[in-house]
Amino acid sequence: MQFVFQSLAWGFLLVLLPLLIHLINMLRYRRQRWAAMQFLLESYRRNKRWVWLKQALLLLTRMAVLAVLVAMLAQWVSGARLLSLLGQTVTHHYILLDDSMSMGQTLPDGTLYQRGLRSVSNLLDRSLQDGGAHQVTVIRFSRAAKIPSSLSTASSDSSGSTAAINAKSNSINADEIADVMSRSILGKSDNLFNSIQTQGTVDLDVSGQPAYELVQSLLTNAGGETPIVYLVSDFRQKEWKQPASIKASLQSLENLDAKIELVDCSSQNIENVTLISLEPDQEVLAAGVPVILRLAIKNQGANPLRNLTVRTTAYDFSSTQLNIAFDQYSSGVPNELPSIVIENLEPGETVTRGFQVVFPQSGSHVVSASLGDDALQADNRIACVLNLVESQRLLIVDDSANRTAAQYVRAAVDPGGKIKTGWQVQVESSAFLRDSQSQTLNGFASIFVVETNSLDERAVRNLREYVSQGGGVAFFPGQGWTDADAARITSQLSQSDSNSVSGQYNVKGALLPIQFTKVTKIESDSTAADIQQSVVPENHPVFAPLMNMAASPLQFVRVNKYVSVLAQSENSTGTDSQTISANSPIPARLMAALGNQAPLMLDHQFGDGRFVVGTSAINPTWSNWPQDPSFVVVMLKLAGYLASFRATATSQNVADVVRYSFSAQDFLPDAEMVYSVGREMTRQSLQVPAKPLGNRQLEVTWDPNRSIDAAAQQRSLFASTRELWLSSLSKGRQVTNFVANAPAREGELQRVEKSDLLASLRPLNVRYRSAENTADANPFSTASTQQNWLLGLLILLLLVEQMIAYLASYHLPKTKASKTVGVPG
Amino acid sequence: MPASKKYLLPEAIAAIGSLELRAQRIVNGFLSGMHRSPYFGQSVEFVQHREYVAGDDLRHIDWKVWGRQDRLYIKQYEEDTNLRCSILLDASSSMEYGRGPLSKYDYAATVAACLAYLALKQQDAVGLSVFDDRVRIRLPWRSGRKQAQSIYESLVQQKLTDRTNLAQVFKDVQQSFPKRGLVVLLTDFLGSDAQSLRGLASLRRAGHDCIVFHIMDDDELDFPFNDPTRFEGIEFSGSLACNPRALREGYLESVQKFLETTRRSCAAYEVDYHLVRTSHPVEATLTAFLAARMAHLRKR
Repeated sequence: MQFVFQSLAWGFLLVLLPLLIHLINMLRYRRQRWAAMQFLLESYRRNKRWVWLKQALLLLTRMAVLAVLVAMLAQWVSGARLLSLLGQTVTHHYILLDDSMSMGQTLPDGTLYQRGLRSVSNLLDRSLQDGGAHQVTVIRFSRAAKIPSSLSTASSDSSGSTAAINAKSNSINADEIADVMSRSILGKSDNLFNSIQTQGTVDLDVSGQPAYELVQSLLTNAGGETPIVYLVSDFRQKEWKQPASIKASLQSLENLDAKIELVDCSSQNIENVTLISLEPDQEVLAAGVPVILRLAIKNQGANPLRNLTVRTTAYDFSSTQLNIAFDQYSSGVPNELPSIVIENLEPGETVTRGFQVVFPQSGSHVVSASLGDDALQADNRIACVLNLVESQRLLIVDDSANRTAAQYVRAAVDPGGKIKTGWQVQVESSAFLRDSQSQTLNGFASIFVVETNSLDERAVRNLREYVSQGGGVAFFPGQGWTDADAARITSQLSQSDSNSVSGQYNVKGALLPIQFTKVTKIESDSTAADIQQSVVPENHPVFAPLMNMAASPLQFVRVNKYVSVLAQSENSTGTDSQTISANSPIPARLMAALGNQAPLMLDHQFGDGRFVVGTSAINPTWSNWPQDPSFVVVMLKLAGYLASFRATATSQNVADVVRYSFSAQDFLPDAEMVYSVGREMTRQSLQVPAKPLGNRQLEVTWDPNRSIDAAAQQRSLFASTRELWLSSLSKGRQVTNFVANAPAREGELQRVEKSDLLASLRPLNVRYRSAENTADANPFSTASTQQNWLLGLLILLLLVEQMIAYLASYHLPKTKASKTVGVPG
Repeated sequence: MPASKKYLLPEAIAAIGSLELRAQRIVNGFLSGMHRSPYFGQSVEFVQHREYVAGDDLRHIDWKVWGRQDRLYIKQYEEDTNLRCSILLDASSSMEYGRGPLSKYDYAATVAACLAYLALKQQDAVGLSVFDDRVRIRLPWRSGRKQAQSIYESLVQQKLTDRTNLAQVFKDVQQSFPKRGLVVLLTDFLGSDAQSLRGLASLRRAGHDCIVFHIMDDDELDFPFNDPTRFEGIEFSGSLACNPRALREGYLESVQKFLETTRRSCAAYEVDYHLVRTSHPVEATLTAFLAARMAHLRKR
């Protein structure tokens, strides 16, 4: 049996109440000494059987009354089969409502979502006019795809999370998901959709698949009803161009005797521009250091755009006097940055523009980019969070006495004086690597090993653990390296054991993606030496600033000594180092090569981090690169690149759970979360208690998918900034920002034409309706209402109960004289 | 108030003080009073002449008739005698029932005390018999204040224990009531059958004027119980746990049938029958009873 309010089904236990009262009464007989016993016994002998029968009937009737009453309150929905035996059926309208972001497309008379609701409301009203009884169930896509927190946090890809959602959706109770569950429609259906209309669309890219599966399970359990499934959507190409899985789901519904109606809410193809992404370059994020942000913009329309202007704003959270701004996008102090003007943007074209922003103080700052109004508002703004520190620490390992290589790197990365690069350099020997705990190494944003002949086994383990957890290490040969040194280092860095010092990672394979073979010198007197000694950069973020320039900044760099390499392989036969390229099968990416095609720098992903290998020492005896200005650029970019893999995400998905841990010694455990509750600039705050995480750490968790307001089922699934306000014990309030951006895929508004849609769904017997065309009468209307039958049954049972109670003399007479023995005058 | 005066309610006595208790028929009496005697003797009111037979008192011969007609006749006078009133009070255990201020026995004893007081005040002789399955207490007929005191004390001291056996009681009473008089029976008739009531007929045949006060509690007549109740018999052994509302109708039918049978039997035996509710005020009951008796007497 299935009920609209499943929890009320526990009320069926009340059926036992009359029996319980009867038993209690039997135990609670009052004692009465009685003189006229002979008459009482006579009455008892005469009426014994009738009394028992009437009492049993009365008891059963009362139990039945309670059962029917509870069934009515819980809204029994699966009893239609029983009613069908009586020749009655119920028309059940299942409305699957697409409330994904694209349904928020604005029209002159509202949004597509509102148009869809009006259309369905009209359809239901027409059905009512045809007579019979009707029930309606409304399921929104986003609620059917209720995202489990554990899934949403781990996934950054919306399609991936949808797949996971689908797998979980069946286990979710339909009563909790459906906005309206098997409710009888007695009058106009407008009121039914009021709350749903108020809540509007969400900024999610959700599939309808969980909703189809949910209806399928409901139909399987239901019976005796005439189901009509309305699919109210905008039928975009991104989902409906090749709807194989959708077709299979709809086929399942049709197999369950459901009539399927497609209610198309979309209008003609319209123009839309989507801000695809906004991310900082992989560089150091420090206070006072310029940050380059890359903004990607896509023209989703069919016509080219000219002179498209994008406004950029930096929200500065440096001030400690900030207050929560409930009616603005962010509580930070807004600083308008120079607008980006895109002269020409062709249909379907995506362009990326960079712009620079500087925040003088450390903290969690926000940068946003926004477009003017177009068809879809949600994808017109994008933002990212820049969590800036005062400076990031760089560890340089140099075992040489004079530490020449370290000096070159330090001079490039942290020259000192008024120039601020955001780096703070610390030079140590390889013994430091050996003796340090993992926590110590994790304090460094990146590590450069520039001069060492040998690494201790423990030092290698520490490096493996550091890289696997997201750290970045750059390794260069030492100045005095011989072939023996190269072989030794190769051996040491090629250890592929998975045992970490702290046991926190389990990444197999060698840290070093290649084998150093021998020290090779390019003779300068050869004719081709000039070419062979030159540096050829590849397409890599580190060398990106040096690319695509008329005159290469690396044109004067000459490398006369390097270490030849071979690719690592399981059988140790290896391949010639010459064959290593960007398409190499080994897990390393070529960053730069020499003119003789020998690799100069290789980028190896190991775990979550990167291990960059240089083949030439940072020393003037090996190359003139340390003395070339381009060396400064490359070292800065390399340090920033290596540090970027441990940086926190600059944005997240709308449905992602916010998790933030902080020191219990620095902050109070009470946090305040500020989030958006709608498309308008209306935000509200919620007190979020922090939970202990151990090791004097506290963690705050906030799930936007959970109902913020249970009564209105209001969620915070909107692209917006989310601010976590913590109370510091020493500095007042501190804000940590999180940015949820709209899924870019939802900006693709190309619709599927009706003919294509119907053709792709053949041989399904679906009925297509334009949302504006709801004049046709509903052909599937029939029958009567189940609730009315229950009400009638209840009234009948109450009458029977009264009659039996009357017959059982449970009603006292109105006047004594009418029933008592009269005394003769 | 002393215990012996417990049943002599002042308001009840005040209400009937102005009324005269008169016997309906001529009873034998040994004291001159207001009651007509069935015997002829010395009196002021002449009734008739009767021819002399051997053995008649010579003093009653009317010599004037003998002088005129030479025949012996004796004069017969109507003689007023005092009333010999016998009160029969049921003291079986069923009489102890009562949820109101007075149990059935309390009520019956009060009525008995009032009647005794009234009769003694008129110089009539009053006797009392208290019975259950047999006569337990018997006070012979006497008049005077001492008799009243004895009656009151007997009423108070009686314990209600056994069942009723009216047939046996009537047999005892017949043997010990040689002279005609007024017999007042106060009982609930519970435990009695129709055969038992034949004793009343015997008393009537012996010339007694019989009055029956059928004392019933309101509960027994109305059966007002609603909650599940275990009824435990007072005079009858056994119990019955039931829902009273379910048995109420049948019970009331049985009671009605019982009352009707009793009333019909009393009417057949020319017994003055009065069904009395214990909730009915005693003085009202007595007033109504005596007024009815007076009216009936005047008709005659």
